[in-house]
Amino acid sequence: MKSKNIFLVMIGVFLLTVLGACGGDNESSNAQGAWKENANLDAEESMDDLYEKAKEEGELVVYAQSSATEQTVNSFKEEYPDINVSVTKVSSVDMLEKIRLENEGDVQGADVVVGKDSNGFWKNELLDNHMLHSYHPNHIADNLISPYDQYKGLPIITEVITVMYNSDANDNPPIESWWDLTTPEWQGRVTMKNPLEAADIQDLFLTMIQHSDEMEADYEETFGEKLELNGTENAGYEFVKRLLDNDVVLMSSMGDSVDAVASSTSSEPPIVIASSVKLRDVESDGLPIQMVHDITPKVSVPGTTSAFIIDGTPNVNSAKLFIQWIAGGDDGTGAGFTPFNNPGTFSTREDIEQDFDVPGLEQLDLWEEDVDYYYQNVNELRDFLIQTL
Amino acid sequence: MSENSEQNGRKSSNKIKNLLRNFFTNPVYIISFLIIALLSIAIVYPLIKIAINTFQWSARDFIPSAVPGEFTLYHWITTITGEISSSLLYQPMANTLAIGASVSVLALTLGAVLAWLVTRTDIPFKKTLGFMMILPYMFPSWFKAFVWLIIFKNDRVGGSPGLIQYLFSVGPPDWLSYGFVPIVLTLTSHYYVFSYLLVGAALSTISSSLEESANILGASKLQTMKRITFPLVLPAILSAFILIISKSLGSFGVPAFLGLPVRYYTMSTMIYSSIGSGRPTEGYILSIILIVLAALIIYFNQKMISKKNYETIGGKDSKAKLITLGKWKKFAMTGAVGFVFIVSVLPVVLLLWQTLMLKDGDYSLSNMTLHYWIGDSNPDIANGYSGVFKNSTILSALKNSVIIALTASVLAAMAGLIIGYIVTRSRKMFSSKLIDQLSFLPYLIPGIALSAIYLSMSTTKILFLPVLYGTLTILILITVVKELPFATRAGTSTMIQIGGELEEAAKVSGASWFKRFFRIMLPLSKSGLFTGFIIVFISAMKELDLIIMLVTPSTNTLTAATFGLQEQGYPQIANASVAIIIFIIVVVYLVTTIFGKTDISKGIGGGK
Repeated sequence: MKSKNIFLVMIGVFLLTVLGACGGDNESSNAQGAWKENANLDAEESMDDLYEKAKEEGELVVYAQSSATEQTVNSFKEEYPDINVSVTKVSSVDMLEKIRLENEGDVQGADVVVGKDSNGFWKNELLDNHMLHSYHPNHIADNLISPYDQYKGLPIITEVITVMYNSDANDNPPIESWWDLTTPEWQGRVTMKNPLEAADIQDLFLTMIQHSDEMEADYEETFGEKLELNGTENAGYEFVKRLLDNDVVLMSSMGDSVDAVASSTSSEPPIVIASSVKLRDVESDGLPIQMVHDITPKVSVPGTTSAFIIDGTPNVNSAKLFIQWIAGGDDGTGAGFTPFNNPGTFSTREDIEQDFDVPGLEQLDLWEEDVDYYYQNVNELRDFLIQTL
Repeated sequence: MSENSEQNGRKSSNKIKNLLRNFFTNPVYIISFLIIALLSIAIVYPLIKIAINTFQWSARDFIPSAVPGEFTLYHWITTITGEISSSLLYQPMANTLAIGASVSVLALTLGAVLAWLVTRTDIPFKKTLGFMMILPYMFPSWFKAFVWLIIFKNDRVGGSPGLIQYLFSVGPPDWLSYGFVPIVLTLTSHYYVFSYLLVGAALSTISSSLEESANILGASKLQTMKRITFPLVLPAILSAFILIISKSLGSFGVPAFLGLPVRYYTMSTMIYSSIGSGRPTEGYILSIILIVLAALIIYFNQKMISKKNYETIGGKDSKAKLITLGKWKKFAMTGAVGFVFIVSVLPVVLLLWQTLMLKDGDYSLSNMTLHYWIGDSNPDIANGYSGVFKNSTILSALKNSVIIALTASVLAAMAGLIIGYIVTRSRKMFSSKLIDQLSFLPYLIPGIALSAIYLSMSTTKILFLPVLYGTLTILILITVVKELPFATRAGTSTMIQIGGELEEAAKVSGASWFKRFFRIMLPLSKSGLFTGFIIVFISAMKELDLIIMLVTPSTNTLTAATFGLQEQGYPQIANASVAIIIFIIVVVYLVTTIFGKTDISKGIGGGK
């Protein structure tokens, strides 16, 4: 036996120990049932009551996708100085992994999550597996517009992925149908975030695929002829293919794509497929950008930001209070909603007034979100996108 | 018979005892063992974990017969032979290899020529030039892609016109604005620094007596270069090659910025897009293929390096004699200054200017403000974000960044030196080869993939280690692991140059291993240690992809904060943060240079 061999044996033994120890040891969580009972998520509690109870609790940590949630912290701290709260910005997909892994590792990373489901992952993998919980106090939920009152979690705002244009170069919306974007006129002049990396754009495409009959009818209406499929499955996929084949300019950030259109000095500026929330950023900088309010067959599908309570939080009263706060409080006038109240960001409550150039949520002709459909069909769309891009 | 076997048994048990004693008394064995143990937990285990993952059905496959967790070859088959394989794998792979090869050739040549100019010729302003040439590496690489677009952007992506289009009213063609050419040039302007540093190191440690002897023996300058200088710097060139090619194979920010507008994908952007869109399995498979590709390249490189082996430091060294450039001086100087201006000065000027613009994109003087630096919160500007020096979130993130970068780079530099020692001193041992290969592996794992794995590891207990999630420790650990290849390269190329005879002399005089290491090897490799430190520090301060998934509110770093600010559309505050990052890197670099009494721009091992 040479020393090299002893060495090898020792390493081998060590590796086996490591791998063995790392192997899955999943302990069942009996604690969960007890937590949920104590959390009492169905109770109707006023914000004042919650504040009293929350004073005893530790620091509240919120995972959020939007900067608006970060900004709401200031007013929250003013109103409830005895509660320590901090917000971390996490992207939708990272959030999914974080919450899942923290749950599996029994780490309470945060207490509340505020954000948009992407491709139905949150609903199907977090909510259905009790890693997240809905909190739906009636005195707030009763004010929700249909169909948002039926949502899981408490909807705060919603937004739409749609077409936006440079309003200096165009007096009127430059397109009427989604299919217009596939014509030679818009070749190389449509810009968007790379859909492979934008779950919200994927969700819009999936909705078009789900409603391919409407897409097909709209094609006939727009061009006066029957739609011929070029090897695609249906009119939804055909639209996506023709759009991308029309030399769409892809960008790595949605904000950049909107800025590009807004700040274009060309006489024939590009138009952009992006989220309506970007109207806020551009408008605050005084840049000329408008959203097309009326597109056939439908303007878009909403992407709704909701608040959930993360399983096992020891700060359940603070969590409830914070969710009620950002929802705008009892009557929607609370300062917690103010950072969300922007053009292009639509309140899901009927008692919140939004006085902007953009029409309200109920005036927009929208498809309905179907997160289960997204979840089951996103793989197929992804494969299709990879081949088409 | 029985007596005989008893004797044999006693003999062999004695033998094993001896071997074990030898094992436990020879620090090289113990250290090798410890290193391999650590690398196994930190690198091998995560890799095995992703590998296993690619052979299992996942809950997201939606194939009726699929049972999550069960064995399947489905993912591999789809990726390699499926309908999407060309777009998913082969095209990005071809692009990646083309970029890797081009960047390596350009960056190696550029870096070597510049290193030669600065270390071996009488070009003036060496110190300044040397420093300016390292500067580009201190900028985040995505930032250079941004500068490229400011200059070369055509109207394809809309927005304000690029400088060329603005001046000549004609936009540059797409191939110059986006895709392969700009990606290669931008990456080259970043990674030539590796070749510059490593080749510079080798050049400045070559005792000029070797070249002088060649001259005395009648060799021409060209012959000397070819027969003496080049072979001596070859190990450095090969080391630099490894760093450059693996870095460019795995680079994400630049191809994402410059490739997307013309749909030019590389393997890293494909991996990112797969993992980022919730289907990590494809991403992991691509990662494994990328790792194998890079491993093959390194394998052949390793074969070459083990054939070439020179020891050139033998205690005191005589000062290298400089080559007179003569009439070429002006030409060389113009070229060097022009180059430095483009890659080092211009980007900084643009960056600083942007932090002073009240309204982004307006370059007029009346638009200038210090608000984003020192302003108090003003609800009318940037949603009430206060200037970077008044902003507690940014200041605490800054503190975290500095703690992480300092700790990680000290640890990595030490580890790199020890590994370098082991690898060079017992090169023929299997364990040394293993350590060498293992310590290089993290480089091949794309940051985003490593981050995802570490996230899952850090939320569970492994052996005796506590749950590390949410601590600075996990951020330091992942940084050390990811930067280990750098530190190891620096350590190895330093150790390779230190002659064994010094240590042997000490050994003969009865010095213990520890004494030898700390009294001889460490002092001689001081500048190598500092080089390892500063290289890791620079990377760690800029690191984003690697840690973005692991930070929590209390462990937020400045880069993560910058990323958030950029995303939310506060480019001035974000750029001010980038400026702080660059400033800290430059200061630490200068302090290291002075404190280490060595100018690493002259190269590793040049200090006396």
